[in-house]
Amino acid sequence: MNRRVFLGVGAAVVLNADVLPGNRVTLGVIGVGWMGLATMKIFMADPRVRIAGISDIDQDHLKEASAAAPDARTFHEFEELLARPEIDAVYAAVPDHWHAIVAVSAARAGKDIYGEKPLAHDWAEGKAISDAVARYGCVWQTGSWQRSLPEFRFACELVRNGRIGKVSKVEVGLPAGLTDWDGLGHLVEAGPPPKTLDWQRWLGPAPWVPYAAARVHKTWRWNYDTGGGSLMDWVGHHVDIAHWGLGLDNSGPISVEGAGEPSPHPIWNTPPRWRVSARYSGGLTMHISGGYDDVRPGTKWIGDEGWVWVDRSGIETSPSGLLSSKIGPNELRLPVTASHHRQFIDCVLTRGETLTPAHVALRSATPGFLGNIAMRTGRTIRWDPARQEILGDPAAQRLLARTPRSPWSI
Amino acid sequence: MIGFLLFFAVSAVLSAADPKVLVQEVAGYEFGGDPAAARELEALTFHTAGNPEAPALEKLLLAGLESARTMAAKDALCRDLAIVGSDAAVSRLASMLGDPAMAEMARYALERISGAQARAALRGALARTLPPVETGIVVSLGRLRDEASVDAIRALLASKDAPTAAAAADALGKIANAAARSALLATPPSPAVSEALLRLAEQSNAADAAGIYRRLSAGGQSEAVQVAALEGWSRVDLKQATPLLHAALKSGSVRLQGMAVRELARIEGVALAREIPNVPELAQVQIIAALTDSGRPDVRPILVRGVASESEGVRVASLNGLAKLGTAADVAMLANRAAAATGDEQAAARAALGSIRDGAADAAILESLPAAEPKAKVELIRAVGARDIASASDVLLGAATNTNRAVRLESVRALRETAGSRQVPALVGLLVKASSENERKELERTVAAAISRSQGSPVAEVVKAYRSAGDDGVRTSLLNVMSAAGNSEALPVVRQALQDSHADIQRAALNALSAWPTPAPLDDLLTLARSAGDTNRRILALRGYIKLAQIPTNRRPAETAGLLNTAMALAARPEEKRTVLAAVQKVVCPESLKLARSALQDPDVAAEAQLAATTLERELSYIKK
Repeated sequence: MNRRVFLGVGAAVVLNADVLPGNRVTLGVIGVGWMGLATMKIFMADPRVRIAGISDIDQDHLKEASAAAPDARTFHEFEELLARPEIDAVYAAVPDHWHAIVAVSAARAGKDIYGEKPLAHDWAEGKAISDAVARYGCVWQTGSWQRSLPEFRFACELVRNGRIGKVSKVEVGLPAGLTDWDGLGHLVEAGPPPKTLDWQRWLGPAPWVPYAAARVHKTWRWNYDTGGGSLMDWVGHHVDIAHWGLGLDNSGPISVEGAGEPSPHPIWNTPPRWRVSARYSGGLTMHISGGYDDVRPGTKWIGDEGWVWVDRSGIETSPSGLLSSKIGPNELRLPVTASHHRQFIDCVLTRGETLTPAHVALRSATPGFLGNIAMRTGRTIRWDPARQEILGDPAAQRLLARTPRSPWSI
Repeated sequence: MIGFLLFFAVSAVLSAADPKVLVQEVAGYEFGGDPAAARELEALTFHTAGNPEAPALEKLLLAGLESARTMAAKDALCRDLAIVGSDAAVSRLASMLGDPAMAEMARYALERISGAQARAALRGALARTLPPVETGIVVSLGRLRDEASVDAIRALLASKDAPTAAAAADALGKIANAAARSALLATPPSPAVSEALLRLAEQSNAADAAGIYRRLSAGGQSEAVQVAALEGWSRVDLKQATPLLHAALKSGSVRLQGMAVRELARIEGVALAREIPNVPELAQVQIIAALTDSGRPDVRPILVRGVASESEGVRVASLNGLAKLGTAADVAMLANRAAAATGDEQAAARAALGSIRDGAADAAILESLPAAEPKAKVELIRAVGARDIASASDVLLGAATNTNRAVRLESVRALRETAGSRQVPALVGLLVKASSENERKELERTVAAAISRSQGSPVAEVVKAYRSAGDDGVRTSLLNVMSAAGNSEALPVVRQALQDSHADIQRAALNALSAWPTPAPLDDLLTLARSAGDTNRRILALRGYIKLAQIPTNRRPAETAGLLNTAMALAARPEEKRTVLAAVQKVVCPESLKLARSALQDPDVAAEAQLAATTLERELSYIKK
């Protein structure tokens, strides 16, 4: 239980901060690549938001983002952006291996943070973020924006209100790994980085390796030094929803096992296809699969009176009549938000708790962290969700944290 | 299934792995080169860790370090030692700390090995290394909570190298013993020192923690530190911190106010409300939200008073609070407020009416209805729909004939949520007699909803009304209802309407088939797409065909692709071809890909065909090897 209990707001309707005085938020954006630039534009559509600073260690990214936000100051290093007193909050869209350092630094600087999912590169870094956010009283929103979509909320309300009875199984279907979005996967030979990219800074706390185009910009996801494969890329979406539908925001599995197919790629060492099974107390099992067509993409809860499936393409239920089921005022109702990004700005102004605070994001990501450890060690990982530690496996326990490269500290 | 895969994976590794050979093969490994040996060795290491074979493997890895010819090989072997290493590896790894090119990879392993010897080795290297190697060692000793390093690290608090000084503060904050505490308290403040002190306080007894928080709450610290310190102080020494919290309420700082409100709500509960008149508007809103969140019933009177505030922000916050804590006694007030307000305030009042959890609220809403003024009546009716008060359907049917148009329309909308098969005949009757097209359209949707909620989606009343209706507008609406219901009993009626003497009815029938919720009319639409006399009708029918082909069924993807292929062959215009290409992207099968590729040569839709083909190629690659 997070010791700092944030302001909550009323039952189903999150306080709309449009009516509040002083309703302006000055935002800095750290990391303006693929996700960063697209999401920056979403924030720019909110009339309360002014983008005052953008930071990236890739000059090409910075140039493109600066054209989209010409009034924003540009910074090479995020620390310079965080030092600006006029910046109230930051949106951080950096690769996974940078999440913790940027987030903790932002918290120390007194900024509220919208951080991309997954919460962090490993469990210990996720805990560090959660602790720092609590320590400094920051508003944190994780980019698990599916919670702000009505079909996902409704699906979770159906399950939470017992419409399908006792849930014994959850199936989560995720994409395969090793997608080569930009066709640079063959560029594996070590060589000098482009002049526009600060390679040492890009590596940051990850172990030193020479530059190769296949390591950066989207495909960093496929190497364990910088990402966690498609499991960690998506755990903050469909597993987060699975947890939300089961009321597991403050809990976790008790054991996890997994197996992944070996990667043939010289640099991408996360599995192309994989399966992870997480057991929870009470007999529930969550099967998470990446890249197999026998599991439908999305989240499916299976109970003893039916099932509910949801994905970005829609929601289906059995019995089908559940789709017209109404959640009554005396039943559990999950918060309604028109927009995940807008809700973050609301909460910056009202100091309320967001839909996806850091301590919840840590719980959502934990099946992923443990799944990767299970796949790499080939062992079933036993987990104590109350103390959040691995039981009886010191070698696996070592994998909950990685040592950051000097001079970085987390 | 998992067990099988695990067994397969482990067997595959172990059956192929002679560790000695693997270590030899890794000796020449280059970054970006063939990773097979390094990955196999890593997998073997993972499986061996904690087993009796681990020391033998560790010995091989250490020997491998001697013969490794490349940096990548040394890196790989050190990563393996981080997994399986023990005290036996410490000496060799420690010898690497003096070489800047290898110090990091050695440190990662030493930190993971973490025993007394490893810590001693790291400690010993402090004196003979410089930043950044020295900095990393400090970080590791902090992460290992190595108390024996405190004296050495304390000296580095004054390092001229800023990252090293910060790392020293951070490390002492993690080690957190008495000596670390003294060192930090004796150091001039800095962000790193303040952070370390905050961490220290979290691990200290109340008296020591209070001392730290008092110091950090004084001037000269950043606002972030002040917020953290004051909150921490309030948790360990209420008496001292409470006056400062009250002062923070009036500070003008959003963050300080927000924290103060949170803490005071926790400490003082409802009594905090006395501050509302004395604090800035934003703090008033925060107080109301915090008190609401406490869930205490005695907050309700404060919320009711807040609804009458001069500040819109306070009114909205209070209404939001009543959504959680309101009772049946608030129904009339909320209805009147929803009727009179606009914008966010109106939305909040409506949400409150729809959310009140009091078991008597439904009855209170129904009781208030008859006597309410029209605008308030509309809001109460809206709440009936939002709350899905099924027992109110007959009351709503009565209201649906009210002389006030707004009341009629709202009743029809509310019935959309509550009406069932019993109300269908009356609703059809209202539709037939509706005084405007707008009202008829609303009734159309309500009748359709009531039918869909009824077992078997009965359409007998609708068909009967259709057959006896003379007005084309009414007949069109009834065809739309039949389409929404999707009951196969209505299909012959709709098919017959295709041949009606009135062109409007023919068109309505075509639209009804195109909007059918199941693929039942597919063949009808295909026939029309091929042979309707009028070009527009052929286009509309084709669009309907494409839409219905996408309705989820048990049909195999290849069969759906076949339907879309038929549509593509009939499409004469780029618009319909693009619709087919957009649809085919979601039907992942080789036949869809073939269809997409066949359109690449058509200059009007080449771009869409390329997108569809690329999407399908990617999706197909996920599911086949």
